[in-house]
Amino acid sequence: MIFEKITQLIADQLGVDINELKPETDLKVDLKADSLDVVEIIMDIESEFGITVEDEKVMALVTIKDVVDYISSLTK
Amino acid sequence: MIKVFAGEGFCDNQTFYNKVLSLLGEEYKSQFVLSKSQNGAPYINDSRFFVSISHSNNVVIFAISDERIGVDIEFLKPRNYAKIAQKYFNTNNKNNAKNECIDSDKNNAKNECVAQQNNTKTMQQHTNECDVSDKNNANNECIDSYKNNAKNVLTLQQFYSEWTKFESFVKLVGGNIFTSKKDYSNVKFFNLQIAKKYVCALCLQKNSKIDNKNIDIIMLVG
Repeated sequence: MIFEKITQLIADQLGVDINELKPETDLKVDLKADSLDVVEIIMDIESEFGITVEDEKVMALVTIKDVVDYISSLTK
Repeated sequence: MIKVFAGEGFCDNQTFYNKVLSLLGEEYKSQFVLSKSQNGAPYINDSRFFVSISHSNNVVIFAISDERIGVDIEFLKPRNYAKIAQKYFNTNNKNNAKNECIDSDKNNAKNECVAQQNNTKTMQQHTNECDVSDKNNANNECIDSYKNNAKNVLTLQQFYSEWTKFESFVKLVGGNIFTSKKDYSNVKFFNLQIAKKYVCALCLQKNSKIDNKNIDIIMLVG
Protein backbone atom coordinates (compact mmCIF):
# COMPACT_ATOMS: atom_id res chain seq x y z
CA MET A 1 0.00 0.00 0.00
CA ILE A 2 2.82 2.42 0.85
CA PHE A 3 4.56 1.64 -2.43
CA GLU A 4 1.38 2.34 -4.42
CA LYS A 5 0.75 5.64 -2.65
CA ILE A 6 4.31 6.81 -3.09
CA THR A 7 4.50 5.87 -6.75
CA GLN A 8 1.24 7.72 -7.34
CA LEU A 9 2.63 10.85 -5.68
CA ILE A 10 5.83 10.62 -7.70
CA ALA A 11 3.99 9.99 -10.96
CA ASP A 12 1.74 12.99 -10.30
CA GLN A 13 4.64 15.26 -9.39
CA LEU A 14 6.94 14.30 -12.24
CA GLY A 15 4.36 13.53 -14.89
CA VAL A 16 5.66 10.02 -15.52
CA ASP A 17 3.83 6.75 -16.16
CA ILE A 18 3.20 5.06 -12.82
CA ASN A 19 3.64 1.66 -14.44
CA GLU A 20 7.25 2.47 -15.17
CA LEU A 21 8.08 3.08 -11.51
CA LYS A 22 9.92 0.20 -9.86
CA PRO A 23 11.44 -0.12 -6.40
CA GLU A 24 14.91 0.33 -7.86
CA THR A 25 13.97 3.46 -9.83
CA ASP A 26 16.38 6.29 -8.97
CA LEU A 27 14.53 9.58 -8.52
CA LYS A 28 17.27 11.80 -9.89
CA VAL A 29 19.04 9.54 -12.36
CA ASP A 30 16.10 7.66 -13.87
CA LEU A 31 13.32 10.20 -13.41
CA LYS A 32 15.44 13.36 -13.78
CA ALA A 33 13.93 14.85 -10.64
CA ASP A 34 15.60 18.11 -9.68
CA SER A 35 15.99 19.44 -6.16
CA LEU A 36 12.66 21.26 -6.18
CA ASP A 37 10.91 18.14 -7.45
CA VAL A 38 12.36 16.21 -4.53
CA VAL A 39 11.30 18.93 -2.11
CA GLU A 40 7.73 18.80 -3.42
CA ILE A 41 7.64 14.99 -3.33
CA ILE A 42 8.81 14.99 0.27
CA MET A 43 6.16 17.56 1.19
CA ASP A 44 3.47 15.51 -0.55
CA ILE A 45 4.60 12.41 1.34
CA GLU A 46 4.54 14.25 4.64
CA SER A 47 1.02 15.44 3.92
CA GLU A 48 -0.20 12.05 2.68
CA PHE A 49 1.20 10.02 5.57
CA GLY A 50 0.97 12.64 8.31
CA ILE A 51 4.67 12.37 9.08
CA THR A 52 7.72 14.59 9.13
CA VAL A 53 10.69 13.50 7.05
CA GLU A 54 13.89 14.41 8.84
CA ASP A 55 16.03 16.77 6.77
CA GLU A 56 19.11 14.70 7.58
CA LYS A 57 17.52 11.63 6.00
CA VAL A 58 16.39 13.11 2.70
CA MET A 59 19.70 12.76 0.86
CA ALA A 60 19.69 9.03 1.60
CA LEU A 61 16.37 8.59 -0.20
CA VAL A 62 17.77 7.77 -3.60
CA THR A 63 15.43 5.10 -4.96
CA ILE A 64 11.72 4.49 -4.53
CA LYS A 65 12.60 1.52 -2.32
CA ASP A 66 14.58 3.85 -0.05
CA VAL A 67 11.52 6.07 0.28
CA VAL A 68 9.17 3.16 0.92
CA ASP A 69 11.47 1.62 3.52
CA TYR A 70 11.88 4.93 5.31
CA ILE A 71 8.15 5.67 5.37
CA SER A 72 7.47 2.12 6.52
CA SER A 73 9.85 2.57 9.42
CA LEU A 74 8.01 5.72 10.49
CA THR A 75 4.51 4.37 10.19
CA LYS A 76 5.00 1.06 12.03
CA MET B 1 37.71 35.76 -13.53
CA ILE B 2 34.74 33.46 -13.98
CA LYS B 3 33.76 31.71 -17.16
CA VAL B 4 30.16 30.57 -17.31
CA PHE B 5 29.29 28.19 -20.12
CA ALA B 6 25.57 27.85 -20.76
CA GLY B 7 24.49 25.03 -23.01
CA GLU B 8 21.02 24.60 -24.43
CA GLY B 9 19.74 21.61 -26.36
CA PHE B 10 22.74 19.31 -25.99
CA CYS B 11 21.88 15.62 -26.41
CA ASP B 12 23.94 14.71 -23.36
CA ASN B 13 26.17 16.34 -20.79
CA GLN B 14 29.36 14.78 -22.12
CA THR B 15 28.86 16.43 -25.51
CA PHE B 16 28.44 19.74 -23.71
CA TYR B 17 31.56 19.24 -21.59
CA ASN B 18 33.58 18.27 -24.65
CA LYS B 19 32.49 21.52 -26.27
CA VAL B 20 33.41 23.45 -23.14
CA LEU B 21 36.83 21.82 -23.01
CA SER B 22 37.46 22.71 -26.62
CA LEU B 23 36.79 26.38 -25.80
CA LEU B 24 38.77 26.63 -22.57
CA GLY B 25 42.17 28.20 -22.78
CA GLU B 26 45.34 26.16 -22.51
CA GLU B 27 45.76 27.14 -18.87
CA TYR B 28 42.67 25.13 -18.01
CA LYS B 29 43.27 22.10 -20.17
CA SER B 30 46.36 20.61 -18.60
CA GLN B 31 44.62 18.63 -15.87
CA PHE B 32 40.97 19.00 -16.77
CA VAL B 33 39.37 15.85 -15.39
CA LEU B 34 35.88 16.39 -14.03
CA SER B 35 35.12 14.34 -10.92
CA LYS B 36 32.57 14.27 -8.11
CA SER B 37 33.33 14.44 -4.42
CA GLN B 38 31.60 12.23 -1.86
CA ASN B 39 28.84 14.79 -1.35
CA GLY B 40 28.25 15.01 -5.09
CA ALA B 41 30.00 18.33 -5.63
CA PRO B 42 31.93 18.49 -8.91
CA TYR B 43 35.62 19.32 -8.98
CA ILE B 44 38.49 19.16 -11.43
CA ASN B 45 41.87 17.68 -10.71
CA ASP B 46 43.59 20.99 -11.29
CA SER B 47 43.44 22.50 -7.81
CA ARG B 48 43.90 26.01 -9.15
CA PHE B 49 40.31 26.06 -10.35
CA PHE B 50 36.85 25.60 -8.87
CA VAL B 51 33.80 24.50 -10.81
CA SER B 52 30.07 24.47 -10.27
CA ILE B 53 27.40 22.83 -12.41
CA SER B 54 23.64 23.14 -12.64
CA HIS B 55 21.00 21.64 -14.92
CA SER B 56 17.38 22.53 -15.45
CA ASN B 57 15.08 21.41 -18.22
CA ASN B 58 17.32 21.42 -21.31
CA VAL B 59 19.86 23.97 -20.12
CA VAL B 60 23.14 23.17 -18.40
CA ILE B 61 25.48 25.64 -16.76
CA PHE B 62 29.18 25.04 -16.15
CA ALA B 63 31.06 27.72 -14.23
CA ILE B 64 34.81 27.68 -13.70
CA SER B 65 36.89 30.12 -11.69
CA ASP B 66 40.02 30.49 -9.62
CA GLU B 67 37.71 31.27 -6.68
CA ARG B 68 35.19 29.08 -4.93
CA ILE B 69 31.84 29.48 -6.70
CA GLY B 70 28.29 28.18 -6.66
CA VAL B 71 25.84 28.37 -9.54
CA ASP B 72 22.22 27.35 -9.95
CA ILE B 73 19.76 27.63 -12.80
CA GLU B 74 16.06 26.87 -12.72
CA PHE B 75 13.43 26.74 -15.41
CA LEU B 76 10.37 28.80 -14.48
CA LYS B 77 8.15 25.77 -14.06
CA PRO B 78 4.85 26.52 -12.31
CA ARG B 79 4.83 24.94 -8.85
CA ASN B 80 3.01 25.26 -5.57
CA TYR B 81 5.95 27.34 -4.51
CA ALA B 82 4.30 29.12 -1.60
CA LYS B 83 4.51 25.95 0.45
CA ILE B 84 8.20 25.58 -0.34
CA ALA B 85 8.82 29.24 0.44
CA GLN B 86 7.19 28.86 3.83
CA LYS B 87 9.57 26.09 4.76
CA TYR B 88 12.80 27.31 3.22
CA PHE B 89 12.46 31.08 3.27
CA ASN B 90 10.74 31.43 6.62
CA THR B 91 7.94 33.53 5.22
CA ASN B 92 5.09 34.73 7.38
CA ASN B 93 1.35 34.96 6.95
CA LYS B 94 1.09 31.41 5.69
CA ASN B 95 -2.56 31.31 4.75
CA ASN B 96 -2.47 34.47 2.70
CA ALA B 97 0.82 33.52 1.15
CA LYS B 98 -0.45 30.16 0.05
CA ASN B 99 -3.61 31.42 -1.58
CA GLU B 100 -2.18 34.55 -3.08
CA CYS B 101 0.91 32.85 -4.40
CA ILE B 102 -1.12 30.17 -6.12
CA ASP B 103 -3.34 32.84 -7.63
CA SER B 104 -0.30 34.76 -8.61
CA ASP B 105 1.14 31.63 -10.13
CA LYS B 106 -1.93 31.01 -12.24
CA ASN B 107 -2.59 34.55 -13.28
CA ASN B 108 0.84 35.98 -13.52
CA ALA B 109 3.11 33.15 -14.54
CA LYS B 110 2.73 33.97 -18.19
CA ASN B 111 3.27 37.66 -17.61
CA GLU B 112 6.25 36.98 -15.39
CA CYS B 113 7.83 34.89 -18.09
CA VAL B 114 7.20 37.58 -20.66
CA ALA B 115 8.74 40.11 -18.32
CA GLN B 116 11.76 37.87 -17.99
CA GLN B 117 12.07 37.72 -21.75
CA ASN B 118 11.86 41.46 -22.03
CA ASN B 119 14.59 41.83 -19.46
CA THR B 120 17.02 39.76 -21.46
CA LYS B 121 19.69 42.12 -22.67
CA THR B 122 22.96 42.00 -24.46
CA MET B 123 25.81 39.83 -23.25
CA GLN B 124 27.45 42.86 -21.63
CA GLN B 125 24.31 43.37 -19.60
CA HIS B 126 23.76 39.77 -18.66
CA THR B 127 24.91 40.08 -15.10
CA ASN B 128 23.34 42.12 -12.38
CA GLU B 129 25.02 42.04 -9.06
CA CYS B 130 22.63 41.50 -6.20
CA ASP B 131 24.69 41.65 -3.07
CA VAL B 132 22.23 40.83 -0.31
CA SER B 133 23.75 43.47 1.90
CA ASP B 134 22.76 46.13 -0.60
CA LYS B 135 19.37 47.07 0.70
CA ASN B 136 18.94 49.64 -2.04
CA ASN B 137 18.78 46.91 -4.62
CA ALA B 138 15.08 46.24 -4.16
CA ASN B 139 14.66 44.23 -7.33
CA ASN B 140 16.97 41.53 -6.12
CA GLU B 141 15.73 41.41 -2.56
CA CYS B 142 12.93 39.01 -3.31
CA ILE B 143 12.01 38.00 0.16
CA ASP B 144 12.48 41.46 1.56
CA SER B 145 10.20 42.82 -1.11
CA TYR B 146 7.80 40.00 -0.40
CA LYS B 147 7.69 40.83 3.28
CA ASN B 148 7.25 44.50 2.56
CA ASN B 149 4.60 43.91 -0.05
CA ALA B 150 1.22 44.83 1.40
CA LYS B 151 -0.41 41.90 -0.33
CA ASN B 152 2.34 39.42 0.60
CA VAL B 153 2.37 38.12 -2.94
CA LEU B 154 5.45 36.18 -3.87
CA THR B 155 5.57 35.83 -7.62
CA LEU B 156 6.85 32.82 -9.46
CA GLN B 157 9.90 34.71 -10.62
CA GLN B 158 10.65 36.04 -7.15
CA PHE B 159 10.43 32.54 -5.77
CA TYR B 160 12.85 31.15 -8.32
CA SER B 161 15.17 34.09 -7.88
CA GLU B 162 15.34 33.37 -4.16
CA TRP B 163 15.60 29.63 -4.68
CA THR B 164 18.51 29.88 -7.13
CA LYS B 165 20.28 32.14 -4.67
CA PHE B 166 19.76 29.52 -1.99
CA GLU B 167 20.99 26.63 -4.13
CA SER B 168 23.99 28.55 -5.44
CA PHE B 169 24.84 29.39 -1.83
CA VAL B 170 24.63 25.72 -0.84
CA LYS B 171 26.91 24.80 -3.72
CA LEU B 172 29.39 27.41 -2.64
CA VAL B 173 29.55 26.40 1.02
CA GLY B 174 28.97 22.66 0.54
CA GLY B 175 26.32 20.43 2.05
CA ASN B 176 22.80 20.11 0.71
CA ILE B 177 19.59 22.09 0.58
CA PHE B 178 17.95 20.06 3.31
CA THR B 179 20.49 20.64 6.05
CA SER B 180 22.38 23.80 5.13
CA LYS B 181 21.76 26.83 7.29
CA LYS B 182 20.95 29.87 5.20
CA ASP B 183 23.42 32.51 6.26
CA TYR B 184 24.19 34.97 3.50
CA SER B 185 26.32 37.26 5.63
CA ASN B 186 29.59 36.17 4.01
CA VAL B 187 28.50 35.80 0.41
CA LYS B 188 27.25 37.88 -2.47
CA PHE B 189 25.13 37.00 -5.48
CA PHE B 190 24.87 37.81 -9.14
CA ASN B 191 21.83 37.24 -11.31
CA LEU B 192 22.83 35.78 -14.66
CA GLN B 193 20.34 36.13 -17.48
CA ILE B 194 20.97 33.03 -19.51
CA ALA B 195 17.81 32.17 -21.40
CA LYS B 196 14.14 32.96 -21.60
CA LYS B 197 12.05 31.47 -18.80
CA TYR B 198 15.11 30.63 -16.71
CA VAL B 199 16.54 32.18 -13.58
CA CYS B 200 20.20 31.74 -12.74
CA ALA B 201 22.22 32.83 -9.70
CA LEU B 202 25.93 32.85 -9.04
CA CYS B 203 27.25 32.93 -5.48
CA LEU B 204 30.70 34.12 -4.41
CA GLN B 205 32.44 34.85 -1.17
CA LYS B 206 31.63 38.37 -0.04
CA ASN B 207 35.27 39.43 -0.13
CA SER B 208 35.66 38.35 -3.74
CA LYS B 209 37.05 41.01 -6.03
CA ILE B 210 34.97 39.72 -8.91
CA ASP B 211 32.28 41.98 -10.30
CA ASN B 212 30.06 41.98 -13.39
CA LYS B 213 32.97 42.75 -15.68
CA ASN B 214 34.84 39.61 -14.60
CA ILE B 215 32.01 37.23 -15.43
CA ASP B 216 32.29 35.92 -18.94
CA ILE B 217 29.14 34.16 -20.17
CA ILE B 218 29.52 31.89 -23.18
CA MET B 219 26.32 30.61 -24.76
CA LEU B 220 26.52 27.23 -26.51
CA VAL B 221 23.81 25.56 -28.53
CA GLY B 222 23.72 21.80 -29.02
